[in-house]
Amino acid sequence: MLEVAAPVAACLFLWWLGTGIVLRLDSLPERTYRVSVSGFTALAVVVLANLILLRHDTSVSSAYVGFVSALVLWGWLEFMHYSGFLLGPSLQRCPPNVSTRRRFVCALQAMLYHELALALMGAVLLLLMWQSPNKTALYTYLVLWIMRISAELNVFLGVAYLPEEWLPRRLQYLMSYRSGKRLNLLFPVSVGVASVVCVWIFSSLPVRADDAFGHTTLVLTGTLLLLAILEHWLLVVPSKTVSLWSWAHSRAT
Amino acid sequence: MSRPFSNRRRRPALAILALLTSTLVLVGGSQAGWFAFDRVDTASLAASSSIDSAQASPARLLSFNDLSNGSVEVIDASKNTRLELIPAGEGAFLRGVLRALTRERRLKGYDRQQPFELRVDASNGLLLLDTATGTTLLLNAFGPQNTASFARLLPLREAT
Repeated sequence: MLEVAAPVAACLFLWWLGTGIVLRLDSLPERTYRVSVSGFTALAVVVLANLILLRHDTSVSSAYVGFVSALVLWGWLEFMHYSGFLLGPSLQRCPPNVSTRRRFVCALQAMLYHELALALMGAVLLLLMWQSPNKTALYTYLVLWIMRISAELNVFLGVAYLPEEWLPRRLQYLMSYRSGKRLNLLFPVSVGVASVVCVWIFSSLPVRADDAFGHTTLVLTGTLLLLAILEHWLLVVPSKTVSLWSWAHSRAT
Repeated sequence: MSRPFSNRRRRPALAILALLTSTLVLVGGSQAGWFAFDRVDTASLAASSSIDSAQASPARLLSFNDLSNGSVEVIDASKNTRLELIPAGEGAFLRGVLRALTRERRLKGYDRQQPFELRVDASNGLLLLDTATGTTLLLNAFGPQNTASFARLLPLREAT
């Protein structure tokens, strides 16, 4: 039981902590950004360099390190995004009542650098690890990335609830790209496909019973995917989950 | 409020993209075999093998088979018997070393089936020789744990 409980607990805790750290750093006054940005970037470089060595390692601990590495790299790009250093070439509020195509172009222009950076990071991890035995960081990143793209598309196409109060005031203009609809056709596809993959991951656990490393990796990424599916549901069902991070969030600015 | 940010913020974004692009080129180049930053760097390690390998005492010819379920079969090449079966996901160091050596064989056009020779040299160093390319690796350079993963494939010594 512990070999399932431990990675599940670790994933929940790290997800909660990581999200909180990014929110916290982001809600600090802007003068702290110089330190946060350089610190976070240095950390990301170290983590990436360490992955070059780590990818040959298939101990249980290296599965955890791989998982945390992917979270750090992800958190780095997210922090850069939310702090306004990684956005897009043109940052303009979308005029109301324009065609969907125009709205998409508008949104893409405002997010392009961020999306490109996420894709480049994905390509780096893919090239680095696709022939290596330790792919935990790659799988973790793929879950985060694919589910992020899915969530973004869903927000663009229309969902009922968004934790707008999370967005720093300077990013509120991003809200102008969302559709007014309360549900969209992509939503059931996103949640359906992700759920099938999630069930597949957890049902293949018994096969991996003898392989402690593979088992840990599956539970870590499976739990993360479960959380991502939950986050999708929170876009259409009202909730009070924001209070999970009230410790990290201060609207000082 | 038309522009939430000035263009000053564009520079850090481009710097991040440049950083990631150069990392991608670096990793891609290494995977393509243009250069290596891996810890299993055969070229530089071959140079470190100035040890007289003719003096070595216990030795064994080994060949390795990749099985379809992901495990690796270690064969005593002179007797053609299985010594060990390394399950999928294990033996990362051994797999890494073999991958590097077979890549070298492939690049130089050697036969993939030729055995490797594992032997102990006069100064008790553990050597892995590629009998096809002539590359010799001093396994001790990779640390005691990694050395042990190969050392257990040697025939037992009568007296130590």
